[in-house]
Amino acid sequence: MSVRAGSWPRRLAAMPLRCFYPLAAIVVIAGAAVWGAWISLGLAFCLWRVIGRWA
Amino acid sequence: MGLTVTRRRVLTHPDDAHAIVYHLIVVAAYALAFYLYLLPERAGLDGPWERAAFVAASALMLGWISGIDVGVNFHNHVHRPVFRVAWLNRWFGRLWTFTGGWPSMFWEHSHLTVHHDHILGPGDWTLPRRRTDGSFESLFVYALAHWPWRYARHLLRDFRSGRGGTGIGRRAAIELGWFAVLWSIPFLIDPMMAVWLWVLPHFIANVYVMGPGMYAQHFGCSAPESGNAHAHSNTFLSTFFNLTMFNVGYHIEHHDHPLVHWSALPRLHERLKGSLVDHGGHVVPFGYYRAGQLLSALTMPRRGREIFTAQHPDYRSRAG
Repeated sequence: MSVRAGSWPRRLAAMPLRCFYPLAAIVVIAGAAVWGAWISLGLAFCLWRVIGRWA
Repeated sequence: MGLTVTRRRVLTHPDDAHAIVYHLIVVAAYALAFYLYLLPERAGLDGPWERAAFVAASALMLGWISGIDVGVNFHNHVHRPVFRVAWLNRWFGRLWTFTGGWPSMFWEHSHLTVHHDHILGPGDWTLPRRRTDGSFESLFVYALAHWPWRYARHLLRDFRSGRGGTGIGRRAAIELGWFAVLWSIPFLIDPMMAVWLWVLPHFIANVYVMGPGMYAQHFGCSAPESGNAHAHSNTFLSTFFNLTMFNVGYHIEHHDHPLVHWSALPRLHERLKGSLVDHGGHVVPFGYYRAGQLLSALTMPRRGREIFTAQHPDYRSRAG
């Protein structure tokens, strides 16, 4: 079965990429309770620097 | 007996489901940060330093996503409302921008009546001020001075003078009232939490995300009246940037055709490619984040501006 451009399966597949930044925020914030706040802070700064250099 | 099911579409464009889900995740991120701040023992945030690290990480991420949520995501709604029903658009708009420190109508006025209608002209106070040689003021001055200080002054003047239509002053007062009610909710829960996980993210959203974005979109550009029809904006072609930022990089195309849906901008760009080259369009291969770094470089600032102002190799004028 082919997936038509603009169809709902394709739209749903694109959702995580379109919502990349808020999903990353959820991971960083929730991650503070899993791996500790300092690692979350490091992750947030790395993301800010890497995206800033690259995108 | 036959059963007829009538499917009523709620969205004006199906791809706007992404915009709505995006905003809902932003709201969820705030709720999660508030929850962990208020119950630190449950999150294992022991001691003041651990809490400070949590606040710093959360504020940075919340500010970042709020800046995109208002400056890009709500921005698309302002041009092409996502719902087919007017009251739903109005209310979703109110609930959309208060998480970025804005009353929705104020942002809409700044963007449509002021910016789009007067781009780079004397009436466009949303953009950086110009030096005597015509160049933009520094990115740092623009970002720090504009939100909320210059915005508040200009908006007050506009609403008092009726710029934007009759009755705009009254409408603005009502919208400010709704905003005040919604924006004060975190303060009612915990005032210190509101300072660190509400006001600080809104400062980051406006000063470090939306400010540099606005600056980069029109840096080095000239008003459309100047003859070069596409010289009013810059277009940013980073694939990752446009995939994750609702195609906001196609900025020349957006200003020339503001009613084209964000999902159709890459196709419009392909159609306009030749015309961009011929009419002064400036195209760069990166996105706003790299642009912001280049235009705010403390070491070798001139080199940063040179990299930014260089034309994309595939878009160099045929004549030049």
